[in-house]
Amino acid sequence: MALRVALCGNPNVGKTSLFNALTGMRQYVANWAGVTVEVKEGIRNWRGVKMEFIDLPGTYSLSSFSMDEKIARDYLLYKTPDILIVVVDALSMRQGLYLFLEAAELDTKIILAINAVDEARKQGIHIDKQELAKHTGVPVVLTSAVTGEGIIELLDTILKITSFERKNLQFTFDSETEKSIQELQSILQLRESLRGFPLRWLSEKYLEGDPETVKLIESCQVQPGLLREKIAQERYKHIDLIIKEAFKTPGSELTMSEALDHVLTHKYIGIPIFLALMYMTFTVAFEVVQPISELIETLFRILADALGIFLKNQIVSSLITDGIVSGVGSILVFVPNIFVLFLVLGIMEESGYLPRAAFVVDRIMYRLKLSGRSFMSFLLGFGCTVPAIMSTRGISDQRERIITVLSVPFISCSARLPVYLLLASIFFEKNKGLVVFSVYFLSVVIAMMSAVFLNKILFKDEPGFLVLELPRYRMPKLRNLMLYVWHRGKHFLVKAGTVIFLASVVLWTVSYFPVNGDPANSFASHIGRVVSRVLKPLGFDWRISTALVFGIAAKEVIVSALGMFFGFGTELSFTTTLANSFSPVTALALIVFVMAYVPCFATLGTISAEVGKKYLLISIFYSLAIAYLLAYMTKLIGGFIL
Amino acid sequence: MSLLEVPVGFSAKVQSVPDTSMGSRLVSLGFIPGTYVKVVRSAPLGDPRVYLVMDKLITLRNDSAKEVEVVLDNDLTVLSSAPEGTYQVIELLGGSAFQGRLHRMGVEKGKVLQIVKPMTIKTERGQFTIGFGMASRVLLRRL
Repeated sequence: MALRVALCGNPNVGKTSLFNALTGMRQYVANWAGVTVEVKEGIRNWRGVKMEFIDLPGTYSLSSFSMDEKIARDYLLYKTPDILIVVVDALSMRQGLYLFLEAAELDTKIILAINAVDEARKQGIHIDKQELAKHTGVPVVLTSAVTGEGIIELLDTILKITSFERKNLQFTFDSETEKSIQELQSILQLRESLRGFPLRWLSEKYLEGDPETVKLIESCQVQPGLLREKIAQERYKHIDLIIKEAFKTPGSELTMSEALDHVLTHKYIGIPIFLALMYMTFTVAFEVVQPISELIETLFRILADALGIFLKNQIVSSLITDGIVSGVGSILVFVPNIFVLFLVLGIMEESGYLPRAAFVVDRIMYRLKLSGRSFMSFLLGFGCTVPAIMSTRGISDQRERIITVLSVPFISCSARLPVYLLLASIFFEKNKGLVVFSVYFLSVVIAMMSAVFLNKILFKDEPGFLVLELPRYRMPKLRNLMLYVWHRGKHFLVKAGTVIFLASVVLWTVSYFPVNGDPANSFASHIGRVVSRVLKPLGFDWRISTALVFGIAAKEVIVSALGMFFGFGTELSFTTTLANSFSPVTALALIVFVMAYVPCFATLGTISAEVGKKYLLISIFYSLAIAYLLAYMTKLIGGFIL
Repeated sequence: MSLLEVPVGFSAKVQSVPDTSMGSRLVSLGFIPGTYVKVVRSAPLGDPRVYLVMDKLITLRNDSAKEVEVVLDNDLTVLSSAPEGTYQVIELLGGSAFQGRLHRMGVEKGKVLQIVKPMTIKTERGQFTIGFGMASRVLLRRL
């Protein structure tokens, strides 16, 4: 049987880098049911022993205030690993040792890994390993994920302690606190349902007021959270003692980190720097890689054409060229954007800038009950909704993440622009610019209103409080970046990719049959005709409705679909037919409708992969309702003015 | 006084943390009664601010910081939360317009003033009542 080794530690202590160093490339993102937080697992064979590593989400304590913390806590409590490595940052020991003291009460063997020792040495901090081991009662290994120091020693230590009995290393509180803990413990002992749990740990957590533990224990004569501050105080007092004995720290001076912070979060230039970096991200992710995306598109078109020549059977040929090949193509087109975007985001996250960015613009989003972190996702939405939704990973507050995912699609992505341009230039030639600008403006307003609305409806205005840690700046490591990009890119390909592919084939089927290849008589047009009954109040006939159905595949398809339906069978040019077919007010309503209605397949696939099928359905109906409402209002108001 | 009233660059000792889930979160981060918290800087738009606690930088929105009760060291306090008594002005935390207005009331760095009732001061120029915004930027030491 493989040895199960879990890594836990505070956020930003370099835990993941250490995990990467321990497992190499043999790792994957674990698929835990109902869990959107990434948990990575990896395997390493060391001196003939198979070790299974689990990289738990970063936590400050084992209380469960956030999703990350709940996952780490539940894992340690319910699936207690054979060995737990508590990773502590050598430059910020106190919080790490606090987590250690909490973990020490659990029924598992512990190794203390003091990480980033290379950086600590540079700052003149001296760590006495023996002294630390004496005070904590567990093996201590000094590591550096950057230089690779201590990795072999850590692996050897894992092997070594498996053969020893677990030592009981309990921290004793002062007599009064200890009495309360033991009293509660003896009450819990009588509970049948709590058999097998570490009762002392549960008692402490209950007295600390950990929400999950309070829920688990249910009613009890002792007041939950009674000793919240007392327990923390005593632990920190003990930690200060350990630090005094085992650490020598020189006086602090202005570090590189502080100097950088002074510039990057500066009162006047902090926001301009943020916007400049965002602009850079945007340019790199959407414009620089555009030629690659176009190349992929072209290649797939050539491939489809080539296959079309060989395949004689019309249906098979169409299925393969228009259905499958273009379906695969429509997934791969996003790959350059997504990989490059995550490369840039990875650099920002690894270097420590990302939380600063959230800090700098937090005030702007606070009114919307969101945080600065989601601001970035909204900005990316102007480029393409798919990477924008993927960038919501890392928003630790699940409530905020869902609100952002459901609201970002309203931001006008670049695929919607051709539709706006086409309609605006036909119907509002003189005010083309104004119309397009207004739609963009409206899309921002709707996205913001949507955030506020969803917060009220879905989360009953739960107060979100933002507590971020600003880690010190670090040089991003190439290996970590590559793993970061690969895990996220793969996730898109596997999860969103399948949905996008299936949807493309389905769409092909409904647009090809029953009258081989005639879109005007296809199932899609039948759907369009049915839909047009609902859309009639907006002034949309069956042709527009069908174009909108096609537009779910990708918004820019609406342009070609309109061309198909309004261009056929007349001598007049397509634009003239279009101009004669409906009024400017209807055109305006259509523009507004296109802005807000159902996200494209790629987006829907991404939403489903990121936050689940439930929100996929919510997203569809929610956006349709908003689109209908907006278009109807446009029609009403526009009728008066135009 | 609340943590929000502590000016940037100063440290304060935590007195109490609210009895909410946010409070518990803060306790687990090291905002424990008795520990020192230093205000490191504020975001470009004034909210949130960064605090140094237990060797790490933590950002806290002003709405949250308002709920954390602290005391400044060495009898330091800000005018907005100072009780009646005699005080020396330690620092005026604001631009020249702000300082000018206070100068006209006789409030200058190093001068002594009396607080007759909350937010009302008596200086050599007379008795004045000051608004909360201004008062929270006048740093005093109790004499």
